[in-house]
Amino acid sequence: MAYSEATPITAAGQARKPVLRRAARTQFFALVLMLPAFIVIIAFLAYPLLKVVDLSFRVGSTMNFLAISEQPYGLDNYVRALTSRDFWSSVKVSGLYLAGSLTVSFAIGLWSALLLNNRMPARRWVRTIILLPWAVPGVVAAIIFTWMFDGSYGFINAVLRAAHISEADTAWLMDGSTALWGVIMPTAWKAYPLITLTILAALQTIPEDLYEAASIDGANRFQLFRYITWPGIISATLVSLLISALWISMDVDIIFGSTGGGPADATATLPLFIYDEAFQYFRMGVASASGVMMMLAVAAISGLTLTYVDRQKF
Amino acid sequence: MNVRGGGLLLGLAFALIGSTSLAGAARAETIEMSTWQAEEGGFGVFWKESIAAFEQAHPDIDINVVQIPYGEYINQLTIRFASGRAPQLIELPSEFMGIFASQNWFAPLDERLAGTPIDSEWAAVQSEMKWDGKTVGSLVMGGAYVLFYNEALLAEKGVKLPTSYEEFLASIPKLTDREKGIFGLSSVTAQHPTVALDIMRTLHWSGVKLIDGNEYKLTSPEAVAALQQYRDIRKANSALGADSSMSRQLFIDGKSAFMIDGPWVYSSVGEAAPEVRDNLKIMQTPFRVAVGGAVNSMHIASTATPEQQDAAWEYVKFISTKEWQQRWAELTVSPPAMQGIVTPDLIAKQPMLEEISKARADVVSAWPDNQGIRSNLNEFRSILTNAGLRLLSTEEPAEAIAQETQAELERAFPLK
Repeated sequence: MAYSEATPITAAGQARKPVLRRAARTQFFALVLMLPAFIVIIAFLAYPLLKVVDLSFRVGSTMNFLAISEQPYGLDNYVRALTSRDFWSSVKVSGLYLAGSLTVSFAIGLWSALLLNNRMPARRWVRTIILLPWAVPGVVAAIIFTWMFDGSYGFINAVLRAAHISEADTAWLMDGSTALWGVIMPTAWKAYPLITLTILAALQTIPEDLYEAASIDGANRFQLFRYITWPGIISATLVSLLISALWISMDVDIIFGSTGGGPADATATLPLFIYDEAFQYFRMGVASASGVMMMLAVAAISGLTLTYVDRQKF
Repeated sequence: MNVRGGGLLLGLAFALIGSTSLAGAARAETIEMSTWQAEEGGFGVFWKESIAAFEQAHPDIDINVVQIPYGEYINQLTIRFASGRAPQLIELPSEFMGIFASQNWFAPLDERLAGTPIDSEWAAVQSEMKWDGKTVGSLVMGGAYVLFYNEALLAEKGVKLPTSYEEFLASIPKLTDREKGIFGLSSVTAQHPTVALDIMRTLHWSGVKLIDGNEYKLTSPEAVAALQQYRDIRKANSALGADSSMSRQLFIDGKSAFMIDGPWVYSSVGEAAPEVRDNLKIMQTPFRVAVGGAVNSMHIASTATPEQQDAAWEYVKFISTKEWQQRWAELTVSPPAMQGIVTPDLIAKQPMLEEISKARADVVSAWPDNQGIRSNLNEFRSILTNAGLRLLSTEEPAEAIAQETQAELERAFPLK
């Protein structure tokens, strides 16, 4: 038997098992420890996902879930969704809702992060207050803003009346042109704390001497932000925007709790369309097809964003 | 304690356990009953009382009540039926019967009904419980929508009670006083299925048919005029953005003069402030037709075992007696299914019962008598709700909205 340095010899003159076998055992043991997590992922993620994709290709209408697997495969559900006026209307509303919510929440989040990055009295209290909306459930936020925007007894109209700007009982959530802003506001209100926290964390990693050196060289505030602050926070910003976008694109509780998708589908986003197809009209196949298409679109956008983030260097 | 005493105690304990097991073995059947009313005022009291009395009279049957909030009721029930976990006994808003009956989820009751009060003494709208020629339910509550009014607000403006639909529409603007925060009409004006009901009632009371023969008539000049009237009255005289809870609360708070709703809402009037409560009254709608029909009904799941179906039927029979029908009227201030049982004693306890129980032979259902529409009422209501919301939230011509809505109805529910 040939011995190597890595093979210790026992007192009895026999070789111990090679290190490679120990490494394999360690790996196997690690896999066994990860097995429960795999089972959970398969049970609660992969399997339901596969079922939804399967359901999206099952043609025909049935409300008997136990008999769905007997239905033939086909593309009718996708065709129905893609030729539905309501589907494209909800895609458009989703796009506007997402863009509006992200813009407003990013503006507030960036501003509050820059504010909190400065030394000021009661900074901890201010930080707590700024982060409070995160703790409020979506339905509660919907109720609060529904009252604020109410046409007859709302806070917004009362303020406008007191400031002599408008005496009208404007029903903000009942007008198709203002209802979308009526749901964007509470959504942005709930979304900005995450952006604030993420950008604040990124701001605190930017070395102070960069600002000092730039100031000495005569850079103004805008140049400081454009050439030092922004490159330092762009990766964190994109990640927080991506996470917020994922949450906003799937969120229904704020719209459900305030306008219900109305008036006349003015605030009916794609998740609401899917909900209606599944649980109002019991067209599970169409709902699943719409959900699959939405998932693919979100996955594609996420992938592109993360690829871009990877390429950012500071 | 000595061994003998200990043995005696042990024996006693076993005897107790044994007798309990025997008692358990005597309870042959447990059934589930679903409702949204388990905690709802007089309705909740009725279900609790009647079930307790029934279980006492039938020790071999247990009824477990499953409370599901109204907003989720149909969806949850549908999911339960679709996944094979349906309750055995179902209370249902009758307008949704078609959704379940079209899937053969309800057991036919024709043979069971023969010879019972349900067959001979029930309100005429029991006929709405038929699907494909079979009776699949028993009426719990039926009747017509009533006109709620605030006597004090009418007196303040010198407005008399209307005697026709036209008088009613003419009186609403006279009662609106925005300076005081008073609305002439409490109406649902938010994204809510009641908007569709309002549209249908408007068409009925304007003398317009949505469907005539094999055609939709929503684009007829009369229908367009009715839709425009619906829009004009509510935009000027109702709180916009109000759902059903808000519109009822406005009336109960004395902030609106008129409200059209089910008579069962009258039980909420008790929550009004003392200075408002005595002014809140109801009357039969003085319009060309009474719109209403079957409101709530009981059904037995076809997926239940024969023994469970028998047990469920025993309860349905139990509450169809005169005693429990009167108790229903007394507790819920709602029309009982059994006719002619509202006595002077009952009226003395609940004065509004006199108005509520007046049966009108010409009660028509708000919804079209079309099985295709009834089996997917949610989508039908959604189309009409969107039409109503467009009328209320935009300045688009009523004719254009009527045309697009009719096109959607023809696509979703073709009549030919």
